[in-house]
Amino acid sequence: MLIIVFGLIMIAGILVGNYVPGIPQESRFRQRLQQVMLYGLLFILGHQLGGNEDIVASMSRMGLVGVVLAVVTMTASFAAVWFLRTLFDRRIKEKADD
Amino acid sequence: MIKSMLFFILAGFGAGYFGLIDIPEAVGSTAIMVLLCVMMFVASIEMGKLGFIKDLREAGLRIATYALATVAGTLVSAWAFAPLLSISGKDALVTASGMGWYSLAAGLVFEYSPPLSIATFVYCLFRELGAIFLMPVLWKRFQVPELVSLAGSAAMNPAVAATAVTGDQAFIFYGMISGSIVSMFVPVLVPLMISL
Repeated sequence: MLIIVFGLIMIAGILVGNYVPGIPQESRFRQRLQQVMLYGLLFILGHQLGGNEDIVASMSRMGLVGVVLAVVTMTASFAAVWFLRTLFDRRIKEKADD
Repeated sequence: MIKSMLFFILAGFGAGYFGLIDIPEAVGSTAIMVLLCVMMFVASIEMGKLGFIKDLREAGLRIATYALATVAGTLVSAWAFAPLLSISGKDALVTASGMGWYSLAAGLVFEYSPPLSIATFVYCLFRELGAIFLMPVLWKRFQVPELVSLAGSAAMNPAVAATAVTGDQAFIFYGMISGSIVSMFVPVLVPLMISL
């Protein structure tokens, strides 16, 4: 259900931004709105986390999981794109040599 | 920005931990979902406004393939590494599906597992911060596509920072397109992984 809701919201937003006239390219209001909502979201998330003893107990472990996953996934994404890019470059070079 | 974000999450945490403000759980959960929906819509308008559809057509298959490789690399490595972190493959996939979009991913994951939303938030923040530092440092030895992949969906901020340091405008181009494509996966992938 969430997939559909968020997928539709995203498609609607992109279409509105792309095709509806009169929406400014850069908007201070949009920027401020995003910031205020982000801070509100983080505050509520923090509140829900801090109010739960089980979560507080697992915090250091979960923080470590997040850091390790970031390092691992960054390395893997980097390697995958590097491999593809060198493959594309080699093909372009071979075509040029022919 | 990052300092302000940390301030608000810590302030919220303190308020919850010491019981300074009372936000009933149901109200908090609803507020999180409403905020996520509105933020998602505004961010998507921004993507449309910046000519995402046109850029995507012009950029062609190659950059889209790099973005897909970024997503695939992230998911496969997270799943493979899960046993070493003593978490399930599913939880690793849920966390990694955030791809760096901390505001959306942490909120979505919270509904599934509050402790895992901490891991997701730290993961996303660390990915963006790591990319900001690594992109300029590795710039002379590697090329822009693989450097941009470090950031996942949060490629725009690190790309701007890398352009400011190196003067290479390609960071902005790749950062915007690759970051936007990877971002499109986040609202779909996180619920998908949760539903596995």
